[in-house]
Amino acid sequence: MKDMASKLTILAGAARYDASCASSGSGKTGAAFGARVPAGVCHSWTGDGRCVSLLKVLYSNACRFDCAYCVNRASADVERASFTVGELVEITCEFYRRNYIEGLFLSSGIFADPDIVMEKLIGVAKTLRTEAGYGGYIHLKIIPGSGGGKIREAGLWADRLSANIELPTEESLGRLAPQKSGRLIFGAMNEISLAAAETGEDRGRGIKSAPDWAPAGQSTQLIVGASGEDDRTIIALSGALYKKYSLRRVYYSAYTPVAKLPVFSPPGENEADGEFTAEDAAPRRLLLREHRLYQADWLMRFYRFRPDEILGGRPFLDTAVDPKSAWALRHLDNFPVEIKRAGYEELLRVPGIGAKSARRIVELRRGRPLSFDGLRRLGVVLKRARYFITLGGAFLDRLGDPQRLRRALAGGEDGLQLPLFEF
Amino acid sequence: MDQGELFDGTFFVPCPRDIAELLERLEDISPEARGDAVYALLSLLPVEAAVSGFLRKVLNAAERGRAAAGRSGERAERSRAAAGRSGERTERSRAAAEAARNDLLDPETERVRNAAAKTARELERMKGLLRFSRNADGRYTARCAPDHFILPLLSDHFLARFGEEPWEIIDEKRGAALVRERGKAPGVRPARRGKAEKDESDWEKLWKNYHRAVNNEDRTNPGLQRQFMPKRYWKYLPEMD
Repeated sequence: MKDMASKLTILAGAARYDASCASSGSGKTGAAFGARVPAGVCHSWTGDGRCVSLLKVLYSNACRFDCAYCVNRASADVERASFTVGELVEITCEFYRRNYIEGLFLSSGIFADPDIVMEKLIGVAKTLRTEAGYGGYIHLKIIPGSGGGKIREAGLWADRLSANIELPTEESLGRLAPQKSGRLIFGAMNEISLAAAETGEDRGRGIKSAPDWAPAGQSTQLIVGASGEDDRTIIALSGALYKKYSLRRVYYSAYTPVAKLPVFSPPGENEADGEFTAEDAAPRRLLLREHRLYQADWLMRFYRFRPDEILGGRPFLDTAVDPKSAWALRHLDNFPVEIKRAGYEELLRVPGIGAKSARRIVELRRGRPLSFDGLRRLGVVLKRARYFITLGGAFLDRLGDPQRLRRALAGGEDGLQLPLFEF
Repeated sequence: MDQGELFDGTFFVPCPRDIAELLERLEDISPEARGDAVYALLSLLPVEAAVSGFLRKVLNAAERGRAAAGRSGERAERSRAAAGRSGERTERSRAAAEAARNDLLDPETERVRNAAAKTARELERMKGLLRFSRNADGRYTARCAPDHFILPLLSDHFLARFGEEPWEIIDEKRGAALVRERGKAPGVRPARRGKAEKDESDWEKLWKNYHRAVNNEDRTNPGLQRQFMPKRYWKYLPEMD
């Protein structure tokens, strides 16, 4: 039998391609120890700049499925290991008490019938809650193919559930993950949103015995660059998922070539087609693509952009400027916006003005005169906003030629140093 | 300066008496502005004069809001119940206090809010970055040297995490400790003398092991790592050895 350290190395290393890191959104208490906080806490950051907030591991990396993009696929030559329920309960509690983690994120390879695998994951969560007295955060992955009964049981103990969509189209799933299907994955998402709605209704009616079922909702993950779909397809899919299944988050994971698969990244300045092999500059470009998708996702969730508005009919997001600036560049006739009169919604569309600074402008402009310096102090990023606003009719910088404007905006961005993984 | 003390649940904030009085008057009108002032004071930056000015502005705004509501209330006296009128006065005065609190274009308010934001940012960071080790007597101990005096603000968070178990957090920079003993409320007191105790268990080794395993070398970005987790905090992080 393998010792804990080598199991942890194998089963954490195998889970690291999952991007989800949120630990917020429930605020339950009442356990012997441990609590879920409304805002989520990051505990450390790894050398790749990603936050460590959860103990993110697989129950087992033995897998019957042979998904071409996956490091744990059945045909891969990797060392296999499995935890026991008891081991995972102990390591979660000990890590939690030392304040290494905010909770557990548990997934697994499909080493047996999906219901049997799901049973193990449920077993860990249930033991943590009922025997260890653990009140911290738990995120369980729904194993594709597990039945509705298992999904409903998982939500009794977990804060969040997620069924991974993996690839953006049925065709790509059929090609790269033939044992998975849209029917299976959407079926699980549907089951989760139905169960959440039912228990939510019961609680709304004041039925005290109704469980607080998966109070942090559901999320999903999509691998970007392992298949050839464009950004338009991906964003339309995310928009539909948010609407249909009330997902809290869609995570995008730039494909790391773990097998000899071509990597697809968006076309660069002079390249006509979007296909690259793993050897060239594609990985960096793919990371930028992932970053732009997160920004576009942000526009949908917090800035009331419709999926079709974000791309304006183009297949890929502009890699040189952020999607909000790109939208503004396509709609120059909407600008400049007059800060003293523009409505909140109009302010929200200005590059460099966020939800907070838009609200502050509306609140403060009645009471006192605003200046460009004042706008900066309210949180407006003048580096971008300067080309799109007037203040009492005065320009800070005039809208010039669109090409020059685009170059100025591309230079004004702070590279990739943005909070990719906030929630 | 005449020193007063402000009791804030589990701890006392030493502060000038005039500020202590202003804070007391604000308790019902704007707990948010009171929180801003306490956080600003705990930043230990030289902001006392600004805090005092900020609190006066919020109180004056609340007073003006109340008076304005009173005037419009007189006109509608016959149609409204007295209770409703007083409710409206409270509401108007609170709204006016909130607007004054958010007036970042006022230099004093801006200073106070910026100082408060620094404390709040470090507080959130330390909730994640503290590392506890288990002593022989079963108590969990964490050490830190934060820029601001965030120790008292950590109380509720770790109380919820640890439940009944005893723990302590030592601020080595200030020789202070937040101590939770079994069955007692946490409190700030002078730190015990003595060397940092080592966690004899394997859990720390296992954590370092985990931290290495989840790193994705293909995406290496140490600049981003340092931006989120500045080097000055690494001393207390076993995974950054």
